[in-house]
Amino acid sequence: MKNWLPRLVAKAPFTVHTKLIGAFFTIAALLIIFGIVVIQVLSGINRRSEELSQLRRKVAAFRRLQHDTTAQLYSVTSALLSPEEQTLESSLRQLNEFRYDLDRLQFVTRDEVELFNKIRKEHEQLVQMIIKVVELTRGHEFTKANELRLTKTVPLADILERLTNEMVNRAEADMEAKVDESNRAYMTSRWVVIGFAVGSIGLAILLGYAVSSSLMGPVKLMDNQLRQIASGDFSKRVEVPNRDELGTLADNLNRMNNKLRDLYQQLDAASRHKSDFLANMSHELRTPLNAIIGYSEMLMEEAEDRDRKGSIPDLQKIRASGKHLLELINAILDISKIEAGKVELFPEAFNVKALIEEVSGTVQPLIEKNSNIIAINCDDDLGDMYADITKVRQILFNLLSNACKFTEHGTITLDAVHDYSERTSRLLVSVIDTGIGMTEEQMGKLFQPFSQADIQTARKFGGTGLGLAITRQFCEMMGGDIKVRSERGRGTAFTVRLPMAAPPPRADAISSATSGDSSKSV
Amino acid sequence: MPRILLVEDNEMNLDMLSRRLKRKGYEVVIAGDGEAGVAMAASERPDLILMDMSLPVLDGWEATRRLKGMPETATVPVIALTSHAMAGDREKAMGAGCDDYDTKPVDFERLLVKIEALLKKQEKP
Repeated sequence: MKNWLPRLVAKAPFTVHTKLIGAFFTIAALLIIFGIVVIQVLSGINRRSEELSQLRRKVAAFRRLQHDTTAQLYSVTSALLSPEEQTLESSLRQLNEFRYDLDRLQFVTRDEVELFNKIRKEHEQLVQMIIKVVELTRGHEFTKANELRLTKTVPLADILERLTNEMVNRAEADMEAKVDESNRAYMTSRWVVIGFAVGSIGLAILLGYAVSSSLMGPVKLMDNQLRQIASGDFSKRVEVPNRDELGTLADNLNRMNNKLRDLYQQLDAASRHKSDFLANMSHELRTPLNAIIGYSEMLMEEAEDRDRKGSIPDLQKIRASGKHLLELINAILDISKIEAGKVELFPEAFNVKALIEEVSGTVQPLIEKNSNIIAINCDDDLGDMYADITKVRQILFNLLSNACKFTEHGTITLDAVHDYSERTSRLLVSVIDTGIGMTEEQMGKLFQPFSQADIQTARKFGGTGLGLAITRQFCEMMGGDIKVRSERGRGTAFTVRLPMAAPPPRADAISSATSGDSSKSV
Repeated sequence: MPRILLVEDNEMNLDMLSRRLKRKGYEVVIAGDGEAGVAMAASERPDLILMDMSLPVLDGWEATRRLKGMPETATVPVIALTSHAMAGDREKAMGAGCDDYDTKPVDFERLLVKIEALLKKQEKP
């Protein structure tokens, strides 16, 4: 529900750059507007306080006028009661001061010109009357002076007092009104400032939220999609509302996803075809091989029986070639299955020493072939091992047959040790020969498929060049490793380390083992 | 002489294995597919069965399962022969009820050892 704003921002057909600049400018504009409002409010307050102080001055001036009027009357009265020249002079001086007051008032009473003029007129009359009274007094006409004072100056002073009172009252009322207005204006300004502040902050936050969500939302979605792709799931698409660079990025991501999916499917199909082809081919090749090996063996048996031994060496060559071809096919099938990840482990418990004896029995003909002797040293505490026996057997067989192949009139030593030095106890098997050995360079490519030390070696000694590659793959599959030490002309030592207890087989390994193979057999 | 039932659909393999077994002194009866193999096992009562796994009509796994399900043939040892030198085939064959397993091409000497071992086990109890 609140997502409509980010969505709106996302859908806006502008670049991310423009959107960000726009957002920053909007926020800056909000700040400027807020500043202007604050300045306005402050200047309003300033203006009102100026007006207020003006009013105060006005009230003070009016009061003074009022005060001076009263003082004037008092001074005139007292002058008449004791008519000395000094007193009369001071009365006249006071008149001047009163005029100054009026002059000062002129500046503050622009609004009440009428009233002010009236006061001035009345005052002028009062001044004339007082001057007259003073003159009469100077002429010692006290009765006339007193009469004039009573009949003219006193009423005039009364009027003047009334008028000044009126002005003071009016100014005070004005001031009170102004104070009220100022208070109200202050309250209003406060709310305006708070409102603008809250509004700007809210708007800025909303804008920030909308812009960042419109950017980060798609980024998160695309991140998820990339994770899916990385984990090999190409089934999903990423949908973003953006019409900016992120929208383009999402489109490209989807295109990449589709392309990768297609490629993956093609690759998967190709890999399946390859595996199927290899499996079928190996069956097809094994069928005639089966017959070649079988019939040559049969012919050898018959030749034995019928005492026609002349053909036996030839038959042996046929059989040996057939066996070699079979070995090659098996090795190719093995390595291709390992590469396709189709080799599973089927661990079981077996006696290590018994297995070593079995394998050394199997390689006995190979050992005798090159006039070698074999020495087997097994630890007494080898005990049982829990692993895929077929693969352990193949590892041992490969290492021993390899040693036999490259050694003549020498010794092949097999040492088997139960190694407790690490957290998981391991079987350590070393196969050491006194054969031709290898150079550093030859050792470098030793475990790679189809790379016997060199072509001449391959011609001279035969073999597939796959044995050690398979051996290393098997070792690593079982959580172990294989190491080699060698010296040209002195011999070679391979050391295999395998965990005594393999982890239990995975569930999928068992299910695939029972799912079967539909290929036609012979 | 022990009687061996050889169930195999490939003519050449059938010919070769039966001749070599006969030469070793066994009496050999043959069947060309799984169904025939099951029928033959019931009628001929062999001492041991060599069963190819990929057979027409009824495959070796199913044929073995049936043999082991019938009271008259349940005790006859079965050696599975398969050219699937795949990891897991051994488990699959054993799961179907086979008593032992060997890969093709057959190493005849090794096969003889297995046959003898099973026949000896059969005699003893």
